[in-house]
Amino acid sequence: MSSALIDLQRITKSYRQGDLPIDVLKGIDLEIAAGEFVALLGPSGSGKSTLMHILGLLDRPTSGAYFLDGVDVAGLDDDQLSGLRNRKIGFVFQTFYLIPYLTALENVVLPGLYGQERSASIRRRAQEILQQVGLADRMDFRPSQLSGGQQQRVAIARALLNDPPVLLADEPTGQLDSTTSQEIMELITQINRQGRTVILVTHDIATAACAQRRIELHDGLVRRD
Amino acid sequence: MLFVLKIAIASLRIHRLRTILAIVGVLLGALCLTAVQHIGQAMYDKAEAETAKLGTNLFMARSGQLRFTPGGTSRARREATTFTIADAETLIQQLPMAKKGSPFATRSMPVRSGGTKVQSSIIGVWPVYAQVRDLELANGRFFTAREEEESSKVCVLGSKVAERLFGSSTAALGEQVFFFRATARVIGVLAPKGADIVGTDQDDQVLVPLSTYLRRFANQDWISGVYITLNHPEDEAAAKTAAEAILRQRHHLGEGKRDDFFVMTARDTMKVQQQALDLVRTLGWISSGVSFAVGGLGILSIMVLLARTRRLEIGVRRAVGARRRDIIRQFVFESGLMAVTGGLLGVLGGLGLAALVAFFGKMPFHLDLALVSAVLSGSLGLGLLAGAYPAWEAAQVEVLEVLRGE
Ligand SMILES: Nc1ncnc2c1ncn2[C@@H]1O[C@H](COP(=O)(O)OP(=O)(O)OP(=O)(O)O)[C@@H](O)[C@H]1O
Ligand SMILES: [Mg+2]
Repeated sequence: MSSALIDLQRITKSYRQGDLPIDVLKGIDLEIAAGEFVALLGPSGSGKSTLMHILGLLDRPTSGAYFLDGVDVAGLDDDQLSGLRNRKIGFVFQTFYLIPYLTALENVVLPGLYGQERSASIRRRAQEILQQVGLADRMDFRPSQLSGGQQQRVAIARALLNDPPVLLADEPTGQLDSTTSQEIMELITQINRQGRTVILVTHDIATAACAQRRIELHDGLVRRD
Repeated sequence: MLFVLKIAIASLRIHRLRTILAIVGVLLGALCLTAVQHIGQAMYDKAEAETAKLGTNLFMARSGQLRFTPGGTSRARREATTFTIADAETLIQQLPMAKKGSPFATRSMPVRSGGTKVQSSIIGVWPVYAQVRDLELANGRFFTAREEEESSKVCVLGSKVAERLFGSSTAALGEQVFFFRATARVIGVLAPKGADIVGTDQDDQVLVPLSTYLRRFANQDWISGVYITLNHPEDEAAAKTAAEAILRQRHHLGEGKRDDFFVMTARDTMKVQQQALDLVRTLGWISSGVSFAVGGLGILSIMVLLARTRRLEIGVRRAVGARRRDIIRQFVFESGLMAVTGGLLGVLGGLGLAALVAFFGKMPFHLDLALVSAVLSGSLGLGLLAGAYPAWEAAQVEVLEVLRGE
């Protein structure tokens, strides 16, 4: 067992489409240390999102072992995985996934509802984080009243609420124009500098340039690290 | 907790109309149950109070056959002409449990004084009637044995009659009143007493000596019946049976012939009223049961709908760390919230309604805390029950299906 924060060993993932199995991931070996900033690249359909979902404990691999902070997650049940997601993982998606009928602040508070903390202090921290991402004056806005970039900032604030060691971002700038993308990338870079491990999926070479390490996925395998 | 509540309300607001309908269902159930049971209790209490006013050791034998109106007020229909003073005397003398008694004959007649005319019940009785019915005089006196013997043309007015004819009970004393075919002098006015349980307003009566009534007013030799007080209220049942036997014999009613009289105790009348009230209460239970069921189904349907339209929210919550049981808890909380809101509003509305009815019906009103808490916890239970299946369905949502299914 290694000392890496994330340790993937021969991870595979296959789906059954009728009778024939589709192997999306065909044996991924990967170690990521705490504090790293990793960009995950690869053509469409190469399995980046699939890998991210496994990393984010939203999906289980077909075979192989995944150690997160030294814990073999294969042995955890659904509730324990939920708890780990809550404490260790922040997830940012391409399409934000904000809840439309809740305000920015309420969206950010959500992960706090599933921890041990009291709601008053959760609320206070949600406000602080929204302030950090530059939305101090937008806390009571609904997602539909925010621009794409602002919505993604809210999503990032939500991902950071429980102060997780790992931030996973699956094409976080995929829906944004280049200026906004750049701002979001600056924010993510800054988050990494605060000591958080960031794994970022992107198609964009310029975006990938922000990262210290680039991993290229091709046809379900790591082609270049 | 406050925050959870806020989020629940925000989520319920998206389907505002349906949420309101579901709440209204429970509200109606709670309202119906609270109102009907409270009003029923108030009517019960009023009936009891009035029985006490009538005198619990009083019983009445009356000619004719008894019918009950749906409202529960008893009424003698189909008068008979077979009841005699001798019958009354026999009962008073032969019933071992009888204390005092007075025969009576009554009918509704116009009463006139000067230009004013009112319709009132004229009732001919013996002087002892004042004690039998526990009457108090506001002014003047009751008639005497001698006046009864001499068929004197005197009368005692109920307080309302005196007021309508003369403006006040003092002004009535000594005045002449005109009946259908005779006159009488007012020698007394009764203190206000209110309606008795047989439905007769005792303030809207004119009392005259029985012999005066029979000979001068009605020109008849039969009477309406007899009021008898008993030594002990417990004697009621025995007195009733004995009186029935005596009257059947005296009226030569053979086997299989229907009574041409009925014997009624104050408690009987109360029982009849209370049976009618029990029916009302049962109907109240049934209708509120139906409303509750409708409310429960309403909550069930909106929660199923919510579980399906809020897949994104559920997926996101699961992604940020909600366990399945957290999702279940959230949905059950929301349905419980709807049901309790409906229950609470319904209870308040029902209490308000019952208080109003009690106020205008001059009935005593008592808050039934046990019922209120039963209705509230029933609403909560209903909400939890109705939320259980939708919550379970919501908890089955797979994060990946939501995230990939966009
Ligand atoms: N539930 C599923 N059933 C069958 N096949 C699936 C399922 N989920 C994903 N796949 C397949 O897995 C492959 C990898 O998908 P994935 O979303 O990981 O690609 P990606 O690298 O993220 O692509 P993109 O850059 O377009 O987002 C695709 O060919 C997809 O069709
Ligand atoms: Mg993808």
